[in-house]
Amino acid sequence: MTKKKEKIPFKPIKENAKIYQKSRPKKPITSLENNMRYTGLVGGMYISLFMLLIGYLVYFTAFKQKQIATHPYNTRLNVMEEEVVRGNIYDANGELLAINKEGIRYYPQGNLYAHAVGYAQMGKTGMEAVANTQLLYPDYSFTSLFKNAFQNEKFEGRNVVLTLDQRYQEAAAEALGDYKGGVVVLEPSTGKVKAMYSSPTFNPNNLKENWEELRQDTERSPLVNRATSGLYPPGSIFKTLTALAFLEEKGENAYDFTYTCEGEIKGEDYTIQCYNKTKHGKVDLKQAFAVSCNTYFVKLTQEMPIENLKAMAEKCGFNEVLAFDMDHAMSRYQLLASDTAFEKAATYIGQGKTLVSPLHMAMLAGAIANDGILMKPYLLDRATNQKGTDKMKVLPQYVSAILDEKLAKQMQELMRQVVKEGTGSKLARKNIQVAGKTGTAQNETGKDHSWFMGFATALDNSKEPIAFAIIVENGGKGAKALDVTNRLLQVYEKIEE
Amino acid sequence: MAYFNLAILLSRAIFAGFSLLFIIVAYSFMQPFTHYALGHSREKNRFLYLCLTFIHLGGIAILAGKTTDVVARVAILRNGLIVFILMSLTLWLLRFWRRDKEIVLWNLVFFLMDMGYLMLERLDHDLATKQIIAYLLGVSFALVLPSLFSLVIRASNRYLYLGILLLTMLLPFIAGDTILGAKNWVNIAGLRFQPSEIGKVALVLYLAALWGGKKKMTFLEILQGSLVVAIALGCLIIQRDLGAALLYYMTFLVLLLLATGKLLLPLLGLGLGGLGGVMGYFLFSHVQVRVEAWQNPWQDITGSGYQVVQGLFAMGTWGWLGSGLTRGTPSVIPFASTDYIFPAICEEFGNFMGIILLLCYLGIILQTLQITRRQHKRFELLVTMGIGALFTLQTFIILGGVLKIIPLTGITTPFMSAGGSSLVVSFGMIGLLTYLSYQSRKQDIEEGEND
Repeated sequence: MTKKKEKIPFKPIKENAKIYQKSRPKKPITSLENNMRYTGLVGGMYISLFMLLIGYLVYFTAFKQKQIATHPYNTRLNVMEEEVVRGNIYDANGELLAINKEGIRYYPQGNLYAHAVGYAQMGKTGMEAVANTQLLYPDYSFTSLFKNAFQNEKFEGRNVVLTLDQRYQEAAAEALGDYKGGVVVLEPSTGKVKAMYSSPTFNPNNLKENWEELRQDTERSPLVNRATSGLYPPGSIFKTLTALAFLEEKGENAYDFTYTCEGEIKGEDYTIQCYNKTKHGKVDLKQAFAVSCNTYFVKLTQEMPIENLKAMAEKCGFNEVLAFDMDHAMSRYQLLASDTAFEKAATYIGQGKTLVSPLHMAMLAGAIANDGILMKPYLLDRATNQKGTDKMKVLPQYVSAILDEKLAKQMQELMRQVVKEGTGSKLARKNIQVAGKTGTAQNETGKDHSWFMGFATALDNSKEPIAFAIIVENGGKGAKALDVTNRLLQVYEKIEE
Repeated sequence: MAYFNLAILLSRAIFAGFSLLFIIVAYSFMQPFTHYALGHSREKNRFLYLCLTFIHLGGIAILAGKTTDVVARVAILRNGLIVFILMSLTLWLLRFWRRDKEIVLWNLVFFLMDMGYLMLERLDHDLATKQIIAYLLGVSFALVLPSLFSLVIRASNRYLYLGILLLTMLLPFIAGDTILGAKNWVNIAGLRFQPSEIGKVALVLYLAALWGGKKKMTFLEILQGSLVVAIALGCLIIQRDLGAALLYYMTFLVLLLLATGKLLLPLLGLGLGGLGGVMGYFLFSHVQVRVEAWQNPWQDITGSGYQVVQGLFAMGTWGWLGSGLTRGTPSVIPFASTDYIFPAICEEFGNFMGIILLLCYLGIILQTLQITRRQHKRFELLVTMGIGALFTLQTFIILGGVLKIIPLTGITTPFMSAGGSSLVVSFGMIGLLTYLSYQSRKQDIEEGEND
């Protein structure tokens, strides 16, 4: 309702002016601005502070939202479990790995992916845990809202496609057989994990029934994902780090240092032997690395201070959480100046208190293969809605350049020698160049573990290289890890991209 | 029940829609936009009231509907009704007293208050009931006191303000409780309040009175003001109320800038403040914890970073429209009813609503600036700019911390957080603003007449 304007009667000009001024109050703004400077500036400052908040909130919602929503620690969407049907899980080629059947989670591939895919009841492990928010992300499309309201149907979560490749996974399982151990295969240029296998495994379809039995089996520990969380003494594969530290310190001069191996070396309080007391004769870094000469590397305790080794280990991810979303163990490197000479010597050849996981070693092999650049390993490739439209895609993520490019290339050469002329000659192939480091790790059981970490490249560059790390518990006799690696390489040869 | 869930999901859009309309119409009152008037004030104010009503009643309907216990349901409806009557009555009274020009400001404040109330009701019914008492107190304070203010708010009452300021600073030492590591709460006859909230207004009034006299300020006056501020800061730091200390100091710098007209002094002050901050970092362990949690909360998600991370999860999981009222888990956020009420609202009502709430705060500031432009005398000008500073800085400190732009500081969100003293004092500041606006308008008309 508008107020009726008062009719201003006509009056001589001066009085009109008075009335005019009465009805229009003065705005003494100019006098004010002379009175006080900076009111404009301060006012502008107030406004900018709020624009900053608003702008950040907009940016946050538009861009950061995806990372936050699917963070493994975010339990918000767990509430949705009551209302949402969990999505399916597929491998990179479309093999079905997990599906809900009549309200029960069913794993068609059974124990093959028991650790990588994990399980969702009795707690959440593996990719069921990492991709949990995607699997329970409700699809609020119009049709599903309609169905939910009027037909009382649950919402559907997203389907998740992993980077795992059934061919590698089956090869790993077949090759490992009844032995205990872990295998990780990944693509160094992107970080995609092609295979993650741990033995012994279990059938996730019978999880509930066998739960107590599985949990109490402390001898075999089938529920443990050895690939990510198994910690073992690295044995000779640790020489990779020793060599890296030595190369970093000396540069090209590292190759000048030679030593004549007599099969054993004596120190203050120890005697350390090469494998089978073999006398390797005069060796330089390349040869010692290729044949895995223990005495050469023990001699390095006098050529290279232990701080360098510690620095290199920490650069390569020891004693810290790795750039990886699934639960995993931290590799351990502990060597103090106060340790005995024996501890020091042992650490240089990968014994002592050092412990590593297959995942970590695969990441390291990948970084070396990728010229020193570590890409974040990941298993979740993308999430789609039930119709198949991509809703979320994970892109390869750069972590850091843990090694200098030159250093990485030097190490690549050392690793190639291992397969050309050294302990890994079993792995040599025609169309693929294989490189890596063998390892035999002594442990409490007396039966050594067998390790291999390395990478393979196609000579014609027709496909991306792969990196891998394999441990076979107690497989030292006969270097079982090499057989497993061979089986994986067979798959690599045949793969077409 | 499925229908109800569907209704809640749809309500997200309704809340977003009405609040968008609300803010558009509210901003049509602001100076830069008054060319795009959108209609007559009366109608616009009615429309604002309509939006407010729909949002409020919608929220209450959902909350009441979700409660299964009949007694609790009645209690919620009762509370909702009281708040509704409070808002309606206040707006009607303002129209009745011909204070139409202020209605926009009150509408903005009520919007904030209402969203805060709905979230508090959703989180903790008893807390909401206590908060309603604070609402009633605050609103009556703001409506009625302008008449009393004319006696109290004068430049000559400088020492009165100083006295109040010192009293509020020293009170916690005499009769203080330590809550959550900060000794800035006082318990008198069962009523618990934070004197530093009252102190901040006293500070503004004191400094305005001290520096609002002549145009050119003497060095002595600057020194006097700085000394008082230093004492106040000292008290606050000893009481470990670092949020209030930051607020007091920044407000002091703003008033210093305006009063002296020299950029140099406040810049020096900022530098000193930075130094103080660094010192505080090394002296106080809990400052270090806060800074670490700010830089990388993901490192210690279950420990020191928990609050920050939960806040980010709350704001980041559901997107623009939120999860729908009662469908999220805001109770998982530590201090969801006080420091972290903004993420809680963002979680359930959506980040879009969060932006609108920020625009509401900005709207209050714009209204404050408009009131400032009308002031004739230095004293009033300093007071209004000071109040603007208090609102802006307080909101920025807490929301910047919640959004992880700056490290988190424990300070309340004006009008939205649970907390009687904060609410009553904020309403008091609104009352002060409306008083000064009204007074300047009166002066304009008087001066217009005396020609």
